[in-house]
Amino acid sequence: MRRIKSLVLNNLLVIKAVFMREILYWVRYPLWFLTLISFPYLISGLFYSIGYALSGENAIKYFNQRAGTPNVFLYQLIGSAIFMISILIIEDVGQSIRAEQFRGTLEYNYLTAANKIVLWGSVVIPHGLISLTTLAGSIIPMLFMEIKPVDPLDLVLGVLVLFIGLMPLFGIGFVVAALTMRFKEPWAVTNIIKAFISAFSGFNYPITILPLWLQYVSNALPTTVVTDIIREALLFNKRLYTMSYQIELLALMGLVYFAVAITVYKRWEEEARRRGELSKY
Amino acid sequence: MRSYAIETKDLTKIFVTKERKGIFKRGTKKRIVAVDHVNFKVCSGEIFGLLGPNGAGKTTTIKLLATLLIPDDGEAWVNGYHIVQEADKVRESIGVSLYSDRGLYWKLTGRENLRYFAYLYHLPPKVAEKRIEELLEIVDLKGDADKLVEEYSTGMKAKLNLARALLNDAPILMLDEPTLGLDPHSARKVRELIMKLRGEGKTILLTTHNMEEADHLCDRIAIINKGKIVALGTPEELKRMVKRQDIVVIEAINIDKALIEVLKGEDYVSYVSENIKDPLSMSGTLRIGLNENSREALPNLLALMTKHKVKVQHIKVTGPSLEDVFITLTKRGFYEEDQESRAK
Repeated sequence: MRRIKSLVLNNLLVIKAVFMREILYWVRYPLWFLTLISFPYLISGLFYSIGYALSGENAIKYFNQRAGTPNVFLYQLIGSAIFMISILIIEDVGQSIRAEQFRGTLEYNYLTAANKIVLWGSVVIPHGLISLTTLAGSIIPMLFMEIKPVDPLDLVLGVLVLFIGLMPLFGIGFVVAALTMRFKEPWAVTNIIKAFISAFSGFNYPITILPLWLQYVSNALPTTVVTDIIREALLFNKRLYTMSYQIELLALMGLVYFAVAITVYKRWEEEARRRGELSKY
Repeated sequence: MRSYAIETKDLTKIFVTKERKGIFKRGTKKRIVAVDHVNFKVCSGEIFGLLGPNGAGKTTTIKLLATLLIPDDGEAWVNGYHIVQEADKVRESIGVSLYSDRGLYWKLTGRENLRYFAYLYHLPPKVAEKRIEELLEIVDLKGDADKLVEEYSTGMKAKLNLARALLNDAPILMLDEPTLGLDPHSARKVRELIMKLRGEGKTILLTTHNMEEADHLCDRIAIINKGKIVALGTPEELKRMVKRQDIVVIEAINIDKALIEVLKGEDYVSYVSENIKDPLSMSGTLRIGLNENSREALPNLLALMTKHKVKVQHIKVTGPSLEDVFITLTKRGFYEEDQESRAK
């Protein structure tokens, strides 16, 4: 029991260390706030404009037929917000490791007694928290204007769903981290993953417009399931407990993705130590 | 349980590098044996030095022992723990300083850097704060603790690096070139601190390519060249390995290669080692091992210098040092690697 307590306390200290470091860094480089606040609106506006350019006056009518709602902007806003958080989580661990490599701090972090999965993974907490808060701040006014009051229970469940949905992404993030440690070039892979996820997760259009075989691929993505659940709750006022099957599926995806990712990470971390890649940048 | 603080058995590390030849030509792969079947044992409480020129394999040895690298052959134990099978235990037993001025968070203050690493070493907040205060005092950084590291001088960063290595109060310290790039005053302070730590019972493994530093600090030294240990012993034991002879050390400007070749051909010269510090003015140091009494050789040496228009600034006759041990054992100058890479 004492061992478990000490293990938990030690890992909490590591999380606290990373949290404080990141917050201090973000405060000392403050302009990223602007990006986070404005991006969901910019992306939504972009897609909205493209749709209008393609279909003119009938754009909303067609959109309603395919997506089940005429509220294009809110539909896009929800999708874009989830897209931004998803990308942040996928890239975050890898980018953080890359930054440590450039600074020359990776080896010193590695030399400590901290559990490396907790150490590298902890960056997602401050980044996720700040991003969520900023995004909430940016989309809440829109939500107030556009949707009916949400049941507090559903709100709690919504956050929980988002959290469960982020776990598989966290897994993908660790694969990117492993790539970073071994090959130093996460950009090529993350860009492909980003493009794939943004095209097939239904962030900005319903996946039903895709060919059937692509819809199967799309449904295997955790981001599709999360977007679907959150949109159902916020846009179509569906109660979250009625979607328990989808939530369970999401949790299962999280476990599978995460287990695979940790295995890949450990394997490549060892390879990096064998090849002397930890100190290279 | 092993009785040595550090023990290596045929420790070997091979790197594969690829030579680059332009954009389209495929480079050839090259195997570099960075550490070649290295064996040594470090007793608890001693300062053990790895002395060798750049590229000799000192840092790779430290990185292997610190678990940053996995050996290709051989084994090693630190504080009784196997460096591969018990890597976590090894990390808990060591404090490491790898680069004197890198590896710090520049947008954090000195204190924030130490606090961050203290938490990663699982020091509870109250214990961490107390330890940080102690260390800032020890390394003389208390007055600058709340400045961002980006405002620190190289010497201050080196001190902070050392303080970080001491955070977890580990029994074994591994210091890679702890005084590299420091001004004489800061370097002396760091050396004093290392001696103090030895007095507190810490085992210290340090690498250096500073002969005087190794001689002054280390209880025992392993001289390492091209990944192999060529000699191991106390500084006195090592110096006894060289025939008693006079060494002439000449600091000069306009040292030319022709002069060195001529010197090597003289009967009274056993070896010449040059350390060119400024390739533009060709200024640096010539270290000339003599076969006979220096008094008889000195007039000839000075005549040669004058003939080759070498401007002598300082000359002294001394006994063998660790540099002469290195030259005698390896048949090459200690700074040869540096000059070659500079020439390339």
